[in-house]
Order: sequence, then C-alpha cells, then structure tokens
Amino acid sequence: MESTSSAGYISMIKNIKQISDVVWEIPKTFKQGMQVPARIYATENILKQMEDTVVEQLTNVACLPGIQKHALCMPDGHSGYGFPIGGVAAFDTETGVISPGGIGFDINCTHPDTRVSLQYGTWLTMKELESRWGNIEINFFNLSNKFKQETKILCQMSRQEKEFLYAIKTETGRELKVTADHPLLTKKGYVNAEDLEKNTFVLLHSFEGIKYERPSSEIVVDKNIIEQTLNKLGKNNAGNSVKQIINFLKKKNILELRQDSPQLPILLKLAGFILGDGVITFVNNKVGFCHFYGKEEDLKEIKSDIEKLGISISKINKRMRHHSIQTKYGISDFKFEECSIIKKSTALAVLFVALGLPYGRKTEKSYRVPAWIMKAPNWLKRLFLASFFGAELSKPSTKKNNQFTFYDLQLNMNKSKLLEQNAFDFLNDIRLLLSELGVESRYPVLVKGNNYVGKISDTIGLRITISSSCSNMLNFLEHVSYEYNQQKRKLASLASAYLRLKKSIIEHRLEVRKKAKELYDLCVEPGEIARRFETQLADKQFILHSIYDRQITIPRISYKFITFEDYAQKNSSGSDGFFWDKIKTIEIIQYDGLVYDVTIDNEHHNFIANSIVTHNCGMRLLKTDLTTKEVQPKLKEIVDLLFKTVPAGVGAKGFVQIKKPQFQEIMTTGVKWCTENDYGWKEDLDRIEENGCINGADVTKVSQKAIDRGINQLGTLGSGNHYLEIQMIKAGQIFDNQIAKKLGIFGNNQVLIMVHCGSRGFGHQIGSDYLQMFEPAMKKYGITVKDRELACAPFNSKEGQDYYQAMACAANMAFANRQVIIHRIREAFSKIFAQDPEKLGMQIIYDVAHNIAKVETHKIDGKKQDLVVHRKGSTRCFGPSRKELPKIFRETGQPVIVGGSMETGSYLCVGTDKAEEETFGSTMHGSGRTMSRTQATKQFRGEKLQKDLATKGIYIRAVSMSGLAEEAGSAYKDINEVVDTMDKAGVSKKIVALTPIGNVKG
Amino acid sequence: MKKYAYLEGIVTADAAFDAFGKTAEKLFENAALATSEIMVDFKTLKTKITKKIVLTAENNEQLLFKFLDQIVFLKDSEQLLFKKFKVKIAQDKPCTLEADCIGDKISQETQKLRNDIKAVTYHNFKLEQTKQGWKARVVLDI
Repeated sequence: MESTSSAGYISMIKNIKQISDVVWEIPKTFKQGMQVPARIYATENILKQMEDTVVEQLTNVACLPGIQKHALCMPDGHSGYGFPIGGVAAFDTETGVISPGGIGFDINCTHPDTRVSLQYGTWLTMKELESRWGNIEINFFNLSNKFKQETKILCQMSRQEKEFLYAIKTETGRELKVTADHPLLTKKGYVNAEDLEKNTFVLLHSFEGIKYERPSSEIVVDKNIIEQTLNKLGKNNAGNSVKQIINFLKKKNILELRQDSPQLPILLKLAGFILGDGVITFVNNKVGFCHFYGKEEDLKEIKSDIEKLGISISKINKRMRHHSIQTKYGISDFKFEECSIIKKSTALAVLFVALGLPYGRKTEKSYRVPAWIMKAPNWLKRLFLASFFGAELSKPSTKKNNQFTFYDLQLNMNKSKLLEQNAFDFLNDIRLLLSELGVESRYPVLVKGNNYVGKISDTIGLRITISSSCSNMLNFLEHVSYEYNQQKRKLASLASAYLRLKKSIIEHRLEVRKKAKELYDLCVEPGEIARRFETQLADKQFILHSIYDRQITIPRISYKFITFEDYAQKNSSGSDGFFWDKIKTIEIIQYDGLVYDVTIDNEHHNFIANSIVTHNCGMRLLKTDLTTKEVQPKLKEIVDLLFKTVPAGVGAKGFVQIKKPQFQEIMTTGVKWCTENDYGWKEDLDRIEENGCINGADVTKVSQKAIDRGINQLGTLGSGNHYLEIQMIKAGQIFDNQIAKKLGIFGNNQVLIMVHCGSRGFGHQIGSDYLQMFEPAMKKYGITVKDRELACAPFNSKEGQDYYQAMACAANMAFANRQVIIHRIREAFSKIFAQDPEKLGMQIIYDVAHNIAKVETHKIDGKKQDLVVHRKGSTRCFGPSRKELPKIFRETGQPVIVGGSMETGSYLCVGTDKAEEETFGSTMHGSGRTMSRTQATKQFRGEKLQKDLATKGIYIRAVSMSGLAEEAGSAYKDINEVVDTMDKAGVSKKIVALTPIGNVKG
Repeated sequence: MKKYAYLEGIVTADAAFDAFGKTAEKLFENAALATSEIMVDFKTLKTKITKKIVLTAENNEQLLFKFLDQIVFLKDSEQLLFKKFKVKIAQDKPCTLEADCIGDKISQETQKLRNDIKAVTYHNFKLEQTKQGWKARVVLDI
C-alpha cells in the first residue's frame, strides 16, 4: 500500500519520547516557537506511516499563543490545512491583552536584510533568523520600564511582497525597509509605516552588536582542567573537596563547559568584569570567594546573571569605604558608598581560575587574556570586552571647551612595576580583540603620575585609548559598547546617535560648500548663491565664507549646533539608551520578494484558529430493533429508496425547502426547529451533543453569501467521505455487553444506520469568509502564524467572538441536517417495513460533532480552566462523571461514533474519565486516509469496487463512481488499529464493531 | 502548452493542481477549468447557460482565489457548473476581473458528477509569473 509518508520520518525526529505504549511526545525544542510539546496517539506502526506534514502542522499548532498542555494528534491523523486532521488543541479563554511590546523598529514585515537585535549583543538579518539556529532570544523594548529586554521568538513567517516597501530614513542615518502595515513606535504610539510623516519621531536604540555565529562545541573546561587547576592551587582532596566541586559544577550543567554551552556567554561577561572591578580570592587555601564591586543597578544585573547559572546570590552589600591614594599631587583621601557582591563558592572561584582568570590581587599577578577567548567567535569576544570596558573604560563625554567633540576613551590599568611587560602584553591582547571587532586603539603608554606606592610593591600606570575619530568611535559604540554598566551603555547609545547626526550635518555642509564654490567659479553672484543654498545648518555666513576661503576644508560643526548633553537630555527615553529620532525621508520603493514576520513577547491568549473549525462535520448513529434476517432481503430496496430520497453529491438540492427566516431560526435553534416542525422526536434532543444546539449562535455574523450557499442544502448528504450507511453487528463484535445493552445494542445481527455529514457549503463558506477576515485581524493584534491556514484571532476579540457565533450557526445547521436526514431514513424504513419508526426502535444512539470548537471546562494541573477546545477530525469523548452528559450516559460514558471505510467498518465506543487528563476528552473520528484521491482513482475503479462489494453482500449506491473509487478501503488506515490505540490509551473504550451492508454516497 | 495538471503527493484527502497560461487571463481560465473538471466530466456537461462574474481584489493572487471561490459558490447557490471560461483582467488598482462562464445547471441524472469541492484553500496557494508564462498551484478541500 502506497502512502505519502517518508517511512520512518517520525522515528528520525530527534528526541521524540515514547510516553507510553501508544503515546509519543515531540518536545518543545523541536521547533522554534513551540509553546507546548506535541503528542501523538499511535501504535509504532501507525506512527511510522504518518506523513511528515502531520508533524509539521501539529508542531505549528503548538506555536499558537494560549495553547494549553499539548498539541494533540489522534491515531487517524493525516495532513489537513493548517491543522492536521485528527488534531486537538485547547486554548485559554480568559482575556489576555495583546501587547506588541516591540522596539521602535519592531519586526513585522520587513526586508530580508533587516538586522534583528538579539540576545547577548548579537544580530542576524531577518532572512538568517528564519533558519533554526538554537534558542537565542530576541531583544525588544519594554514600554513600561523603557529597558531593552529579551524574550523568546514565538513565530516566524515569510511571505511574498509583490509591490512595494516603505524606505524610512532617520536623521541619524538609520534606514528601514518595511511594508506599509509595519508599525513603528512614535511619541504618539504605534503608527503604520504608510501613515508616518516626515519629522515624526520614532524610537531607536543605537547598539547593533556583532553578527551571531554558531559557536563550536569545543570544550573550554572539563573535569581534568578543574582537577589540574585545583592541584595548582594546592588544594588537596581533603574531605573529598575535589569531587564535591566537580559534582557541583556537573549538577549545574556547567561541566563540561563548551563554546556553545548556554552558560558560556554569562561566564564571559562575568570574567570580563572580574578583570576590571572584581577579584577572586581563596581563604586559607580552602574556601573560594568571588567579589564584584560597582553600582547597585549594575550589580543587580550581575546578580541576575549569576543566578541564571543556578547559583544563588543572597544580597548586594553596601558599605562606606575610605581610600587613600598617593598621587603626584599628594595623598588623596576619599570615602564613598561601595556596593558589592561577595559570593562564597569555591566551585565558582575555581571555575573562573580554570577559565584563565587570576586570583588574588590583580596588580601582583601575571595574566593574559585567556587563549580560548582570543579564539572565540567575535560575539563572544565582544561580551568579554564589553564587560571589561564597563568596569574599566571611561564613559563617552564631550570636551569641556568643545561640547560637540568627544574625548578619546581611556582605559587605565595599574600593575606591579615588576610585571610591566605582562601589563603591556595584556593590554595588547585587549587591543587585538578590539581591532578584530573593527575598533582601533593606541599602543599602551606608561602614564606618569599614576604610580602608587603600595604595601607590596610599587605599581605603575598604563593606558590605552580609543580614538574618538568619528568612524572609529561609532564602531566602538555600536558594536562593542559596555556591559554591566547602565550609565555607560546609555551614554554609548546616545553618543552614537549624536555622532551620526553630527556626521550628517557636516556632510551636508561639505556638500553646500562644494556646490557654492562650483557656482562661484561659474561666476554666479555670491549673494545669489547664498540665497539658493541657505539652510538652517549652512547659513549665509557659512556660504560666503566657503566661497571666499580658497581651500575646500571640511567644515566644522556650527556653533549653533546642539551640544551632546542637551541632545541627550532632549531625545533620550528611559535609562537604557533608547532615544527619539526624527524621520528625514520616507520613500516608496519597488519591491518583489520575501518579507519576514516575527512574533515576540506575547502574553497568554485565547484563540479560535479558523481553519480548525470550518466544516462542522459529525456522525450520527441510529439503532433499529431489526436484524439482518429482516433487512437483508429488502436491502437493495432500502438503499435505492434512500438514494432517491436523501440527496447527495454535487449540486444536490435539499428536500427541506426553507426561506431565509426559517434558515436563521435553524441557525439559532438547531435540532429544536426540526422537532418543532415534525422532522424528529422530542427525545432525540437528549441524544445529540449539546442537545443539538450550540448556544451563542448569532445570525448577523453570517454573510449573505454563506446563506445563499447553504439555504438549498438542508437535507443533503454531501459527497467525498460523507455517507449514509446501513450496518450490522457480526458475531463476536460486541466488546462490552453491559454498556452495549445500556446504549440500545441488543445483540448479534442487529441493524443500525450511521450518517456522516456536516453543514455543507454553509459551514465552508463561513470558514472561508472568516479565514479572509482574520488576515487583517492578525495584523491588528500583532499575531503571526506559521501557516496561513492557521489564521486566528483572540477568542475574546470582536473578530474571534464573531467567528465563534457564526460557527455556532454552522454547527446548528449541521445538527439539523443530520436530523432531517435521519427523519428521511425513518420514513424510508417505515415505508418498506410498513411499521412506525417508533415500533421499529429507530432511536438515535448518539450524534457527535468532529470538526468544531467547544468551550469546555477542564482541569489542568489540578486547577479548573475554561478552554476553547478545537477538535478537527476528532470526537469528544466525555466520561461518566461529566455533568454535560444526559443521565443515561452518566452510567456508560458518552457514546463515540467512529466512521471507518466501506470495507473496514466502523465502531461505537464510549468516553472515559481518563480521557480528560489525556486529551481534553477527545478521541479519533475515523480511520484516516493514507492514499491520495488521485492515487486511489488510479488504483481502483468505482464500478468494479461496487461489484466486488456486492459479492460480499454490501450494496452501494453512489452519485459519483470516481468518488466511490477514492473511498476504497485500502485508501484508509486500518480502523481496528486506530480504535485499539485509543482503547489502550484508556481514552475511549471500544464497545461494538459495525460492519457495513448498505451505503449511499455522494 | 499544457493547461493544467492534477498533483499527487501534496495532499491525501483532497485535490490539487498546477495550472498554466501564457497570459494571466489564460492562466485564470485554465485554473477555472481545472477546478470545474474535478466536479464534473465535461463530456456530459452542456453549454446552455452563460454566467458573468465580476470581481475586484488587491492583487492577482487574491483575484485568482476569489475567482475560484466564486465558481465553488455558484455550484451550491445556483447549482451551476461550467466548462468554458473567457477571462478579462484589468490591471489597474484594484485589479478587476470579468469572466464569462459557460455551462449548465447540475443534473445528477444526465451528468457524470465527480467530487464536490467544499472550499478553495490557501494551502500551498501560489501564483507566479515566469519566463514561460504564468503558473498557479491550488489545493481544494473536497
């Protein structure tokens, strides 16, 4: 049997876990954006044959915001649209506010080359972000505290943009290429690109960082290195201390430490800081301490980072310090409040030493930048440098006598005079790292006057400087900057903006100067030139001066230009370096290519995913008190009559002729309309899920188009896999006599009738209508999904509620459709057997929906929660303790009707209480296709199938012979295996197997 | 140039096709044919009724979707099926489509009917223009 799966694909999925005999779990790590793991209910055999797309779609669903516990797939699962058929997902109904929470250049629909700011000071272009590269988080702007923070990326999508993009340039020279509906953060809130105007302020942050590259899995520190370090420290193994330290580090997953360990970036930052304002000490050669000194706000960051390693920090200490330094000017006394973190942890201290850091007084120790850092990827190098600079490098500040120009950045270091060469070497290591990141610095120089007569030895002072020339400074500020120092970080971002602004103004002035001179050479009158080119930043005096000055020099900034201090104060937003920048130009550019979407920082939501609930299809099982003995001789007659009286197939017109008002009544009352209009019995209502009517249906949410499409279809079967089937119970096919009896099954050879159909074109049109409506809604709420067919809206939004209410209309129409059809069936039997259908015992056993979203209460982790449970090709299977069930089913559990193919037969099962814990009370709906329709038509001929089945005693009438071929039994999975799977899982118990003897198809 | 080809291996439960055309209009016509032929054997369908469809959309892709969706809609709302299409597309904003659709009312007795299309889906939906002409891929829910 051919199938479209790549055999063994699922077993090739890394980390797929077998939870139990028939339950498999795909962890959240399988795909970026998964909120919950995915679970598949299947035997190993079924699992191996599942299509790749099932996994793809199931894990996409797991990315939807608000999803609870697991994204589930039943054993009959196969590929669908957006959601796999056989899929179940539950979402929280409580309202969640959707807050985009993004930065000014938040990512919605951007050009593939747009750089996205990520965790640990890295970036990737949108295009590169798409491929799976690990769990790195993305930066965003927290609107409340105005800090740059990081969070997970939830979803990503790319789509074709075939028309144009908006190219937005700001005053500081930043450029963004985005789609018209991409929102930027302005002083008045988020505004779409197409609505932005020149001179509007948008929020920016200057820091770009270093391009992310995958680190290697090279070992940095392993058990042996720790042992060697301990040896060198002279620590013996007294009290098993060596083993203890190693076990501690292993427990925290720090050993072995590799270049790609998640702890490495944090350790690098801490190491850089320690080389600046920290120290490692060992007391009495036994206990290790790590000290960090700095401002409280920065130590808070350090504390948080150390705690990310799994090591707790109890508090940040504060004390008054007195310092006495002998400088060339004399002895300087000062006191200040010093904040510090002092962590007692021999393991951590040893780890840092193993990483290459010195311990004890740094001025007395010889050390270099550890070799493994010198070889690391640039972004890791940068983390080390930046925190070292946060402690040791001066902050960007402008000169006292020229407030438009920055001082060079300085790094001073003191060292014992005896270690002068080492100091030079170390500083040159730092310079080398810097130059690899594109920043030039000057050779270390001895600084006279910074010598310190100390207790142990005389120290000397050395200094390196980073030149403040514009491009070098920008490289430093934008790619390296500072870590663990908020103040410096903020200044760095603002300084970069200021420098860029200055640069663009100087360029502007240079341009004006050049043009003025050209025109002057062409004998244009100076006054005229001045009039033509005069701008605020290049005034008349400047132009005249340009003309008369014989050389073309680079103009200086006008004294009217704003100072850095004033600029920072005016435009800064918050304390993390965000600032407002004016839009200089907005252009529309031709574009034909991909644009990218990313969803970040979503709070809990609740959703209806449209594609999950479109078709409102279901099954109904009708019993009779007849046996095959009575029915077989009249089978052909019955099937022919049903084929005549129950319209099916393309273009079939329903036998219930209604007008719009009645249709609307059906939409809101479902089966009740039928029973009130002689299309059913009152007791039928108890035997239908939701009593044949879902509350909350609102006819105004249904389009005229949907009504037009559905109004003539009440009382039609549809086609495809929909059918009406007459079934019997073969010997040995009752698995639980007691429950079977309670459900109305009396024994072998009993004849039953199963109807499989739904809301027809009506439900599908509603689905299509809302699928289209949800696309703008998703943009409105900042939602992106991995598959266009997963279009959705928050449950509690207007769009979401409208859809739910429209869906309820469709569901009610489906219940009514099945009701009128069984009415016809009762009539047909009554005619042929010349008896009232009541006397024939033609009660409904049950009617279930299997493509629907229901609001239900379920327990998650012991707590009751209201959920929107989506069942796409999955049937509800509540257990006996659910209050929703009518009294009779409180003894048995809810009946579950599982439709198989014409050849394999169907099942009647019941739900269990266990089902709630496992699958939100859901189970399979049928056996699921394995062969495509085109394949099936190639392999089977409808007419032949009909003949073959007739010889087996199965009589079929079908509107479409090709359609019949497509429904051949071998095109479906083995239903027995599917039903057994859920039985084994304890979710639904099989009660009776049903064998077809007659069938009517569209 | 082939007008359209049904695809295997994309979806198990439904139908999919690639349609082609030298011009966009030809492509639309062929896609409509591919859609209709899923539902009926053309040999058994007469050309008695002409129906005019006028639609607008923001771009050609949306226009194609709406067009095919409309064909499915007419099948249910007016019990019509078509086997010949003449399409005119105006490319100004928004794109407008005018199509003459020729076919007949559905008759189960005289026509060989096949699958009932429930909906046009966005699954793998693609419309593109290549050097050879236009191409579209559509998956239909059956």
